[in-house]
Parts: sequence; structure tokens; C-alpha cells
Amino acid sequence: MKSRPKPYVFPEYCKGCGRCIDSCPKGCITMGKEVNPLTGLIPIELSLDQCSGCGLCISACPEPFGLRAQETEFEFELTDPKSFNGPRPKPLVKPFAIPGEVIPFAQTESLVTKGTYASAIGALLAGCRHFFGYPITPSTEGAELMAKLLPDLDGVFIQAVSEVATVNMMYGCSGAGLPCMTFTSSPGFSLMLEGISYSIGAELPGVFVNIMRGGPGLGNLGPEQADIKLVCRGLGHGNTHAIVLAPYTPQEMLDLTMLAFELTFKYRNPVIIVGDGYMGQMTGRVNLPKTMIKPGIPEWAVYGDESHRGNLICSIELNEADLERNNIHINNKYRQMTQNEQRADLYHCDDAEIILMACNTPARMAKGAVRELRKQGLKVGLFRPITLWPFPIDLLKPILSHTKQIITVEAGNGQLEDELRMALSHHNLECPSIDHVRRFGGILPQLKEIIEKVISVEEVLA
Amino acid sequence: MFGLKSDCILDIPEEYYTLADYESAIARWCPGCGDHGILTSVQRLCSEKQLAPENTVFVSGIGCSSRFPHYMKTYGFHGLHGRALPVACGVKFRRPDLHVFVATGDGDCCSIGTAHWIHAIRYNMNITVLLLDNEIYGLTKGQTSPTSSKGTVSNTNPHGSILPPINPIQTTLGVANASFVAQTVDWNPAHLYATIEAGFEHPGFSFIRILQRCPVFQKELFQPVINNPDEITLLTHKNGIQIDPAVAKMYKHTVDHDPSNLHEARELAENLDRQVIGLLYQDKTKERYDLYGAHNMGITPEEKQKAINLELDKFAV
Repeated sequence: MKSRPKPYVFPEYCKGCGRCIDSCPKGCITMGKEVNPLTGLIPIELSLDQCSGCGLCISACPEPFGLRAQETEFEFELTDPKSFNGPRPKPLVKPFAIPGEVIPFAQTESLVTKGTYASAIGALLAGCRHFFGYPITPSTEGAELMAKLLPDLDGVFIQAVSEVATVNMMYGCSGAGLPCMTFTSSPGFSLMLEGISYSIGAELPGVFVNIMRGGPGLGNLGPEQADIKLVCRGLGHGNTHAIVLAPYTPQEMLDLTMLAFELTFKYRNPVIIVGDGYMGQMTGRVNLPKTMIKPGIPEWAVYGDESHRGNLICSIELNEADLERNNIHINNKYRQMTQNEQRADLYHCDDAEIILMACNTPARMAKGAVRELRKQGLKVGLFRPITLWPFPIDLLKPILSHTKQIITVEAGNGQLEDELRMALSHHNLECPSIDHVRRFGGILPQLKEIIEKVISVEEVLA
Repeated sequence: MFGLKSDCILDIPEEYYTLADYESAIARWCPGCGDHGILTSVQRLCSEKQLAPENTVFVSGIGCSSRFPHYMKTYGFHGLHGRALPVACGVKFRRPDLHVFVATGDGDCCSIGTAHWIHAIRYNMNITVLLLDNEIYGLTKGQTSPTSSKGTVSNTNPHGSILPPINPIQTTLGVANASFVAQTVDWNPAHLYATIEAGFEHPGFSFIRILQRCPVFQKELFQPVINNPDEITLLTHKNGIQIDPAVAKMYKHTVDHDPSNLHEARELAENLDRQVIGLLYQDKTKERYDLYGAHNMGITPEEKQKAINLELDKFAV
């Protein structure tokens, strides 16, 4: 009878899955008891007294070099498994970044266009060629412009089946290292939160323009600023934050969209642009910038070329220590954002005793009120945060010494005021008296209301 | 004493609901919108069937069609975008005694709500679903919908849509436990009413796709078939939708389709060149999830006590 080869095992290639144990008809194989110091796993043990050399265990082994047949002559040389398929055609290249370019942009005449369009144009100039979206009033026009322009610009526009699909398409696109964006409005943004949390966890960029409308629930289509808490403090589950930009003119919709793309890649974190419903629909003069961006490919991208093939995009860290390290890293990024990215616009704040605080469209009313009240000789100024998170407390700090009163002007229930109070508290700053002008449900604070409030406060102060 | 026999006395119902009992606000759809006709048909159905407004619920999601509950003087539930069917299932699961209607649209049902739609078909609860399909997003002013036919020019597909549309009838017929699938048109009130009535009578998930005109964003879409009824196939069968022969006469192209024949129904649904109207498939014997939800309703406190003791006694030390 021809003797058939018996199996032997390379302990360092055996992870102890036990498939060979079940396959052996003679019961020659048992689960091992000793941990292999090389792998930290427990390889199987063979006792070949009963072995008939059937080879079933060898075919059952899922490891290519785990169980192998003994050569008939005992003389053999071990071959390095790495060389079985010959030498690698090329050594693994360390992923590297392909840098972007700044291209001069021919000076053009100003445009007169609406906020969502201006933001879409800003995205195009920032090199965004990938747009995913789902129709929702009052933000749809931006998506519609992208649908018209992108096919002619070597770009992609996809109308997703829902906001949930949208955010996950962005997750995929930004995972490939490409700039992408979406326009949505409050109810749609709620649906995107899960994906945003994952993007933050996986450290992926992405620009989300949330044209806030009246809420809660379906609310209405009017302008409101009731998502400030959501974008500053509630971006899905987990330890999440993102830079929040609040434009107040169509020009800023363009400028801040371009800035958003810069910041989102700089920090590998989503950036949110919030505007109220009027901000999306408002038409105004928009000057185009002198340069535009041709984006590069970052080194972490899953781009599909040879140098990036080792990259993995994920937000899961099962090991507690790893996740803590990851969270510390993300928190460090938040700290850097807080230190470097605070932005605000100060209008007549140098000697102001009463500071109006507003963003988006209400800031326009507040600015008008400041102008009007300055004519009457009142020392009033406007502090307009451009970044809502991080709150520009460093810019507010110097003017607090001569400020007797802060009045927040909001189309919402005090969410901006909460951000202000929280920032004051975190910096152990003495809180000046804070009052507010608030309207809800799609109605904005009126110029008259703001002036009346300031005058009534002034009387008390005097 | 007037020579009347006692059995001649008219049996007048205690309450008698008229159309006005179901009419709420003035419908604010565009002039010429097909939804107006569907609303009238549904109100007529409610009054013919004498559905008590307090026992009737209209559920909707988001879209033009989803203004429906606002115009019915019954219970209404204007839910989330795409989530009309889960809301309706939730209502029906615990209140099987209520008549539950769902008014949904092509974007609501076939785009964002697809997952819910598929599983609502499988649950087969006794709900009447009206899919008001105008093949466009009307409320957001003209974007491509999943049912827009290939080449439809819209704001999000300025060069014409690229993909073939979802066929809601075909999809519904393809899902396990589908029990009632019909198609009708908003411009034929007799057929529309008869179809909704058949759907209401059906014990289970009755899915009715209504081809609905949008005079603003899809002006010409259904004009050829309205002008030329021969381009529509009418399904006639003794078990199908029964309409007045005078109305049926306008459709020259008819098929005698047995609603129990699922295979033929799928073939009919697949043919996009000829839209069919009528009952494609019905099976009254399919399992119903709402019956499972209702089976333990009305058990006594003693029985509840016994059940909870039985379970918690396992943890006794």
C-alpha cells in the first residue's frame, strides 16, 4: 500500500480555529493548551499514531501555510512563504499627498445672485466637483445649480434617495479624498447626523450647508436659527464637534464656503455652514475671488492608486485604549480649532457700552440698528460671530471691559445666547448683563424692536 | 292602524354622515391638480360607507399628496418624509378597529420611504394606501422622482433623467405577502372610486397606485392617454374592479385578467408601453400582522397578573 503523507503544522501560522479537529476521522488532532509566544494564539496539537494520511485536515485548514503534508523523504528545506509568488513587482510605497494648486482666476464683474447659488459657486471655485443632495425647501436651488453645472465640469451630481443616502455618499466620496458637499435644511440635516458622527470618527472632510427653517418637526419654510444648538453641540452621537460658519450676506455665503473647504481638509473634520431661510434665498452682489483651487489628494485617502492602497477608512476602535487614544487625538483637533479658528466681525465695538450680538440675517437688522442708534449718540456696537463653534470668545474678551450690556438678537429661542453664556463660563469671565430680542417661527427680529430694546436698556443703565 | 305593516318602517341609521362631514379646509393644491379628484372620491367613499370620522385616520408623509389629511375632517396624521407607512402601521397595530388610509406620493413612498414601503407590504395590515404618482417632485418645485420616466427634464436632471423609473406596481407585486395591487387614474372618477372602494373592502394591505396629473411640473405627461383612452388597457374580470359598462366602453383595449393570477399580473405590470388600470392582484388569505397585534387586546387584569407572575417567578430566589 502506498503510504500517504501525514500532516505537520507550522505553529506560527495556526490560529487554532479547530476546523481540522472536526474533519479528522481518527481524532488525531486536539485543541492545544499552550499559547504560541510569536502569535499570542493557541495552535492545535497533532498526535499522528492513528493517522491514516487521508489529508482531510490539510484541505480543511483555512491558512495557506498552516497544516501541510510531510514530504516522503524527511529532508526538506523550509521556504519563506513570502517568496512563493515570486518577488513583489514593486515595494509598498508609503502613502503620500498629492498637493493641490492655487490657480489665478480671471477678474470678472460682480454677480447678482442668491445665497445658495453663491455658496454653490464658492464650492466650485474651491474645487468641489462632487455633489450629493435631496430636494428640500429652502435650499434646493443650490443643488439645482450644481445639477446644471457639474456635468459640464467633469463633476458628479447625484440626487440621492434620501438625506441618509446623501450623507453616506459623501462619506464615500470624502473617504476617497475628494471635496464634496451638500445643501439641506433643518429636517434633512437631522437625518444626516448619524453620518456626520461617523465622518468625524473616521476623520473625513465634508461641507454641509444647512439652510435653517422653522421647527421643530416639519415646522415651516420660514427662516429660523433654531439649529444652532444642534450644529454646535449635537452633531450625532459620541464626542463630536465641527467648525460652524455663519454667513450674513450672499458674498459671505461664497467666501465662507471656500473657507469651509480649506478648513475641512486642514482638520479632517466636517464643516457646517448655517444660514437661515432668508440667507439661502437672499439676492445680493457677489464678487468672485482672484484665485481658485485645484484640490490635491491627501495621503490618508482611499483613492484607488498604488500608493494609497494600505489606507482604511473606519470609525470603529474596539479596543478601549485605542478608542481613548483616538478620542484624545480628536479632542486635540478640537482644541486646535478652538485656538486657531475663532472668527468674528466687530462693528463699532471699540467704545461700545451696549453690544448687540447676532449672526445670519438678524445680524443685518442689528447692524441697521447700530447705525441708527449711533446717529442718536448711543454707544452701541455689533459683535457678529462668524464661527459659532468655536465661539469667538478671544475676540469678545478685549471689549468686555467697557461693555455694560449684551443684547442677543436671534430668530430662535436663545441658542446663540447659550453659546455665549457657555463660552463666558468656560473662560471664567464675569458675565455682563445679557438681554435678548427673539422671534420665532419664520419671523425675524425687526429693526424697530431692536432699537426699542436698546433704548429701554439704555434708560435703565443711565 | 294606517294599514302599515311593521316591517315597512324605514330603518333610519342613528347617525347619517354627509359629504360635508368629511370636508375640512379648502384644498390648496394647484388648479387642475389630480389630487382634487382623488380627495373627492375618498370623501364620497367615506360617506357611502358611513365611516364615522372619529374612527377614520388619514396618514401621510411629505409632499403635495401629503396635504391630504388637512382636507379630511377625520383624524389626521401628517408624519415625516417617507415615514407615512410606519406611522399607519403603528396606528393600525394597536387600533385595528380604526379605518386607516395612507396618502403618499412617488417621492415619499418610492424614494426616501422605500424600505418602509417594502416591509409594510410584507406586514399586510388592513390599510388602504393611495400612491398619488405624478412622476415629479411638485412641492419642491420640479425635481426628478424615482418614477419619472427616462429622459424627464427636471431641475436636478437638466439634460434628462438617465435611469429607468421604478415601477411601483411591479415592485409591490414582487414583495412577499402582497395581497392587493391595483392601478387607476385620477381623470376617470368612476374607475377611481371603484378601485378605492375595492381597496377599502379588501382585508389587508391594499396598494393603489393612482396616476395623477401635475398641471405645473408635468403638464403633458398624461395628456396622450387622456386624449386617447385606447392607449390604456382596462382589466376586466368578474373578481376585478366593477365599473359602469358605459364607462368601460370608452376603453377599446381590455384584458380579462383574473386577479388571483400573480404571474399574469406581473407580466401586465412589466409592460411600461401600455399602462393598465384595474385590479392586478388580490389574495384575501395572506397573513396579516395587525391580527397578531390585536390578538391579546382586551385580556383581563387577572390574566395580565398571571402572565407577569409566570415570567417574574423565574427570578425568584
